[in-house]
Amino acid sequence: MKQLSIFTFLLIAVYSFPAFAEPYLALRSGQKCMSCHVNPTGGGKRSDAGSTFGQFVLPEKAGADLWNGRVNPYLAMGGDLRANLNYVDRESGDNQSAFETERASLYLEITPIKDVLTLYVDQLMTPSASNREAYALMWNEERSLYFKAGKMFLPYGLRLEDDSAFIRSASGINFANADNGIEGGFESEAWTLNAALTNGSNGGDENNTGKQISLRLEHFQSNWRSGASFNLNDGDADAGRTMFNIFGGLQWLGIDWLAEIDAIKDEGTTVGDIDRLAALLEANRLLAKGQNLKVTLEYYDPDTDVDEDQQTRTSVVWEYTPLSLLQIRVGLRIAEGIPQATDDQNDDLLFVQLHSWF
Amino acid sequence: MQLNKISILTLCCAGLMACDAGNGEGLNDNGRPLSEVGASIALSPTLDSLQANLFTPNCAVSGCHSGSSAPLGLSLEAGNTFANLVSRASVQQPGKLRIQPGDAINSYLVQKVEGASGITGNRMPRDRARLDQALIDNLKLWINNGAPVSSSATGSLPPVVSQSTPASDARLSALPASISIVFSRAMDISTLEDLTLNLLSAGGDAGFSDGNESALIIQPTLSADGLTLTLDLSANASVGNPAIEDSYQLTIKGEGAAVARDLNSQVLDGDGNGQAGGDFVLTFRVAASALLPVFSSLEADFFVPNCAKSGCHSGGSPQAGMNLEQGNVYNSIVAVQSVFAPTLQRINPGNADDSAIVQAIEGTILAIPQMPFDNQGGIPQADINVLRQWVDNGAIP
Repeated sequence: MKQLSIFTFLLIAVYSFPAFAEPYLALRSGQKCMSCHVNPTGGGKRSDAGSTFGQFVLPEKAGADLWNGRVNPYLAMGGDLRANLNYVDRESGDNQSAFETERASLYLEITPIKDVLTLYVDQLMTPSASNREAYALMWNEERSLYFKAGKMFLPYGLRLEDDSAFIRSASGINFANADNGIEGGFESEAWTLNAALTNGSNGGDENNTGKQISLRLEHFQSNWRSGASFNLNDGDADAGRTMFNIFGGLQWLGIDWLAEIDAIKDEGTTVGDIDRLAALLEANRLLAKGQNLKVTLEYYDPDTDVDEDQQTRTSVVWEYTPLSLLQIRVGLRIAEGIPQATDDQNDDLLFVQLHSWF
Repeated sequence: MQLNKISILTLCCAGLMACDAGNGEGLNDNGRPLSEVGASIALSPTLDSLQANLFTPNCAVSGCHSGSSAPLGLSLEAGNTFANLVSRASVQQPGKLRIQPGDAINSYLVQKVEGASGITGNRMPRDRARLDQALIDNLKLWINNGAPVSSSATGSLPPVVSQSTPASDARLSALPASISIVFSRAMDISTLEDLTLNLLSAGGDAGFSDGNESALIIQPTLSADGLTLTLDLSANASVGNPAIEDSYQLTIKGEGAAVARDLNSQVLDGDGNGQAGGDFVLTFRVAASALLPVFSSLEADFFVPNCAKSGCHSGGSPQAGMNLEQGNVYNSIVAVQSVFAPTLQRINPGNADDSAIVQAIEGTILAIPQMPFDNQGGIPQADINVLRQWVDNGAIP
């Protein structure tokens, strides 16, 4: 019976819900992020299908038993751990090498009413304990409409794991910046629409009457997808931020391509209004079962009215998942910024990461 | 269709790969036009300099502490920094001020950029290299100078003593070779001399006004940043001698004709009342251990008070499974294999050197952090010597 259950899960995972954490996996499998995550917009705790995918489909050697973190029908747990060895070749200053526990998170999914109501908590355990998400999530019976209230990551563009990617760091919408508010969504086979209304203070106390509106629309086909996002954060009298992006994915030539371009307008800064531009192009190639090669090109113009201030990055990452729930990532990121910069825009990074999850 | 895909992708790839980084011509270190920001500002402990060299390039970058969506409402752009930081309570830890004027050590911002234990969330700047120490040092100096808004202002808070080693009312096993005093603001070394510094021994009693006191020889030196005063006591014969038990009192004058002053000539606020003036007084004593090398004394006055604390070696789930509450101590430690150093016994009867607990308290064993964990190095050597004596005597119950 147990073997049959696992086999059934495998079938479901391979043919129905093969998505896992990163957008390229959703693209590769032709699924939405919500297929494998509790959160409709992706990231955080995996659903049962996501757990199955991570243990039986993603790794080179599939697991023997399924562990889906389910304690009982009403309670399930999950977690992520990313431990790094980083070597930074600094342009200004001494080179550094350091072991770092980049992130350890625990997820709690409480489902008082199956398929209808979920209470969800994403708690960061290290570095330093803090809450990332905490919300109530309600679905309608057809699972075509949902509503969230609480603290949540905002729907905007590609939900990349890498918060330091220009499109995520420049926009400020990433895993470090959950916000308090409400979110609603519509899901159909080919479309997803997300809309959120939040404080616009990235989880901090609200200090003005303005609010942040986030909209995200995405269209899905089996081997491509495209979408657009809009974000307006209305601060105090003079300050505000408006962002717009287009993003998409395409399976082509055996490569899973992802791209996003973001236009950001900051108003009321000390030097007046600033227009920024950030872009990402990512290519993922499945080398063999359990092995992915990722090449990423990034571009960032922190002020389009200022010449010669642009930054670029090129990254190559090999992701190897030898066993169930265990992934090794080895990556090199070459960064180029203005020569006189004293921050990290010219620092190159070599890293080895152990990623474990359940 | 295929051709269209190829064309689009080729254009995307070529477009991004053709994007070079800027050559920085006509820009300052932060990528802003020189015509806009003027010449670069040298690093110094002023708000203007820290804004240009620390906050703007490291914090007020897009997506971080800039714009209307700055995390925790904390914009650190020029013009916002002072109002959002100085004397403002932290959102993450409301009991602390982001910047507490005159007290860099207890300012939450300093703890965040240093990645101190106990902070909430990430070290700052997040996902970026640690700030250069020179930036942090100037930030601390500016805070200790009162965090004035104007670069020409000197700050209104008088200097105070932020920290001392030994701590006030400490009990030591011998007179230390030096005393360290940390001030909140850079001090004027010329005002830290014989007339303003005075270290007395009590003469065997605990009193400092009965005429039998004697002054010790002290040699003051001030650190380059003017914040740390070190008093060298090595010229005194009693240094390091545990047999000489006495009480000591250090006075730094903030009252009278000769007083300690900071570099802005503000008089020391020795009594910490927020007003210039008043003497700073530090007392400590050197005393041999009150313990006896018998188990009952060690259990009641050594293990229980130092180890059987909540979350440590007490309760149903004590650390390392070692309950050191009254009545449990002996069976938990004597001839019991150490969990973290399995080649050792926790207490090896007859051999203190090879006892894991002794090594842990002395901080000489790599497998175990120095104990007590919340007061590392805080147990006087005299007390440890009594523990050693009991162990070497066979750890008799």
